[in-house]
Amino acid sequence: MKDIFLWVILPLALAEAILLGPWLSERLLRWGALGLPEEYRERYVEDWLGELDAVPGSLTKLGFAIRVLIRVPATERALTGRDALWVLAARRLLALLITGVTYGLIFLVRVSMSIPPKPNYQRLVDAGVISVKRYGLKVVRIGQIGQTAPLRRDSPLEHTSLDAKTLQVLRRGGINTFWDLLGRYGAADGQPTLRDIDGFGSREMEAVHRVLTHDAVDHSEGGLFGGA
Amino acid sequence: MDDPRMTLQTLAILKVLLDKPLEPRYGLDISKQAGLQRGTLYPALARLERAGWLTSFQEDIDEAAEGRRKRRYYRLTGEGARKARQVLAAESQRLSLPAFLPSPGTNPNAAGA
Repeated sequence: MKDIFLWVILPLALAEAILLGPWLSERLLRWGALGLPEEYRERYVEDWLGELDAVPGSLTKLGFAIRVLIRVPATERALTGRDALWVLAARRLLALLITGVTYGLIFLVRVSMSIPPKPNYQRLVDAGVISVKRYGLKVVRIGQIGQTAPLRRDSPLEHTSLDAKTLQVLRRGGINTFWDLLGRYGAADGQPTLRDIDGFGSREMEAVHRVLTHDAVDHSEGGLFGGA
Repeated sequence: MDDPRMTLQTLAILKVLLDKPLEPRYGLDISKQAGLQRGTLYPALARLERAGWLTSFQEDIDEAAEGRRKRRYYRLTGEGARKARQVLAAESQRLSLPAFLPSPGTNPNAAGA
């Protein structure tokens, strides 16, 4: 593909440009003169075309025409002492466009800042993993959640030692009690949670029932499910 | 009429036209002499002409015989030439090097040797 472009398309395009250069330049200059006040158009077309004849080379002619075209607004200003209406309108439009884009960006930034950060689900799942080994419903991962005392369905999250930021995220998600947490997030690392209740034996079920009906867990007997 | 806005491009054009004030020049010739890009000097020429510093005329040739279209030639008016000299002198003074700097071609180390 690169070779085709290099050896076929590019030379053809160049040949076309060289062939069409003088014609295209003249068209551009005539078109550019339309940007000038009517009384000056004829004069400047004649002037520019006269100069175009003195420019050697097809591509150079094209370059000359393009430069003249770019300077048409300045020529217009020089002739009349003021900017043309279309130049003023184009400037106004550009200013509006820049302002719009800027405000749009500011709006987007504000919106994106107002969206709450995505909760750290891994941490939440970690928090939802509970141990049924010794002390009742104790959330493992001591680094995040410490001793929970006997946690009940309606135990507020303050009974955990979740850090303030995690608590904030949880509350924003409508999770205010420990049960909300367990109900929302499942098992991780193969640890059983209340969601895995189907795998519990009758003793565990009884213990869970006690917790869910606000019965205290007797820690002296090894917590919710007895000793490990 | 107010004096035209002086840009470096305008000053370059004035300098070229002042070199031979009586000799009319066409745009491409001026831009070549002034070292300007072709096609960029028309706003400056229009400004100078509008201010009365320049006058222009279209050459009277037989296009068919010459094999080219007529060109427009520009020349400084008497008032334009006078003002152009003033402006160039003022600009040249403004841009000249401070007196305490060695003039070009002198060796600053030679004085102390």
